[in-house]
Amino acid sequence: MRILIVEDEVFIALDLEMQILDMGYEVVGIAATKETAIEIACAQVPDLALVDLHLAGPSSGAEAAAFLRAELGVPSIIVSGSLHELTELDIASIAPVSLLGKPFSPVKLQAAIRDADTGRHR
Amino acid sequence: MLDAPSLSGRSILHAIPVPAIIMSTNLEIIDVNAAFESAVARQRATLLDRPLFDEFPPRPETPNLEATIRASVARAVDTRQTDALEPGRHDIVMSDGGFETRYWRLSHSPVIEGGEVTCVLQLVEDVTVEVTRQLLLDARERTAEEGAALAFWDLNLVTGKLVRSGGVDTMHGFAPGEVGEDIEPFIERVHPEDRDRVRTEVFSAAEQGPGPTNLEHRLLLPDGTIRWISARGEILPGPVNGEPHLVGMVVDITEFRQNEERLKTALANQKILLDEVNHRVKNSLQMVASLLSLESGRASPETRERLMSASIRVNAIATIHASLYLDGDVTSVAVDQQLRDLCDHVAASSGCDVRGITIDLDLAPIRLCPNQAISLSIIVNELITNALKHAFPGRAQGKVQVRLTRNETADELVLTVTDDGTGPSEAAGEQAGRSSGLGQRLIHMSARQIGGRIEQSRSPEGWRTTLRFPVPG
Repeated sequence: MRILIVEDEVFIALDLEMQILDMGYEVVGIAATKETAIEIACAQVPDLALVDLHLAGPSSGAEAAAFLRAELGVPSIIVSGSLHELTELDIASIAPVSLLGKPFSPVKLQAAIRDADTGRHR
Repeated sequence: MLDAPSLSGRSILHAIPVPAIIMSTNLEIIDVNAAFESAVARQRATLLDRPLFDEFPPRPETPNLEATIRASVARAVDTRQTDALEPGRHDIVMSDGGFETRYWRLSHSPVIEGGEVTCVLQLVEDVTVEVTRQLLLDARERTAEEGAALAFWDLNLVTGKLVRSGGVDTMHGFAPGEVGEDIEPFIERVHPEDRDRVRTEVFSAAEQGPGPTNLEHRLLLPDGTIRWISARGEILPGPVNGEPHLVGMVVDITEFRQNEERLKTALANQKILLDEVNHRVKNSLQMVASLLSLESGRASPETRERLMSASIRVNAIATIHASLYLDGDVTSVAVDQQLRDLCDHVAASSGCDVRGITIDLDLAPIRLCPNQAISLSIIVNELITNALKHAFPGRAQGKVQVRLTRNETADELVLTVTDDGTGPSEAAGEQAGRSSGLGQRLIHMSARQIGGRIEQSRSPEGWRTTLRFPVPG
């Protein structure tokens, strides 16, 4: 499975990358803004995205995830410290496969990624 | 000297223009005059020779009247001088059976014949008009006294006549003397959206009867400014025909309202700030956890385990932060929910499901201040981490129990963590190592911080740790 990481905090992005690689999956890129996320996604068309809601600058992770879902059919796992900011409309347009609150436990993260992988093959 | 007509006491009595009674010194009615008859709506013939208080029994609102009158008559007889009483209320029975509120001023004068007091003349003056007028004045003064910056007003609800202090005119944007005594120009200055409500509430006040009223509304002044005013008052029966008056004060509360708006905005900003800080803190805790995780990726198995337990300790603190903002109360933590999150995390991190280990929780709903919650979390975290690490070597299944209860009699909270495994003492030698030593120190230091005591005991069934700590005041 090929995964895009959308996260503007470098330590967290690297940690996510390491855990994904440890699980034996591929990371197609790390994006810190909505624009970069869409750019990489269009070029690479990943199987899954891990998306933080708060990104660098004014860009919104929710918008990036909604674009990925609507335009490319790419599902997202939302990883955020502010899950309560998600509106019902956001949830409807993103249709996230999982929601993970920060700080997340590696166990829960790996379970969510594995679930997404299983869902993909179903 | 003129020839005086032969005078009869009785005819003089009937000539007195105020209600009057001649009565014996023991208060039996000898005669009453015409003015008395009409004042109390009774026939003279029905009153003669009757004891005064049989005919005019005291009313519940004036229970002391009889004693007062008896004392006054006694004084008049004693001193041989007129004894006048303060005006008092004595409601009278009307011909329809109802009562009417009246205020009377009574005086008793001794009638002296042949050097002896033979009877007493009681004059009964109806002072209802004077008294109610004074009550109205008093009410005006009372309300005016509540603050020099207030304006007071007195509205006749029947005629619409508005007596007021100058502040009322100023508030409504009128120059002194610009408008007369009618309420209408003032109602015209009420904001159109509030006007009907104000008119209804003011004039329906009369139907509610005596008591306080309270009204807040806007004014729309000719220059377009909007002001908020608050009018408070009470309903009183007036001196003329009992026409009800609304007497009260009015305050300009525009500034209060504006402050209220500013506070609301400030509060909303505060909330945004809090959300931002909350987000930052969670992100920072995630960064610490990620750093530990990144380090552990390159570390030896032994280092990896230590980094892992550091990461779990960081998380124990993080769950406090997460639950602090969960229910909007930032001064205390619902520790039952927070410990549940913490145990979930520890269970997930330690792969409890794979190992067949369950963590049973029995937690009373208790709130603690964040510092106490942190101490408690550190203790729970160390105890269950330790149990998961050491209690079940080579076991296919196991159970860890966490209980938090309130001991009402001793006014303390009791935390117990038990496991059904072999306990750390046996395993300690080979596995506990330094991290367990740190764990024990963390437990004891945290317990001391919340004034608690730790008891640890081992039975064939497993290992039990009990923490007792006082209920925070």
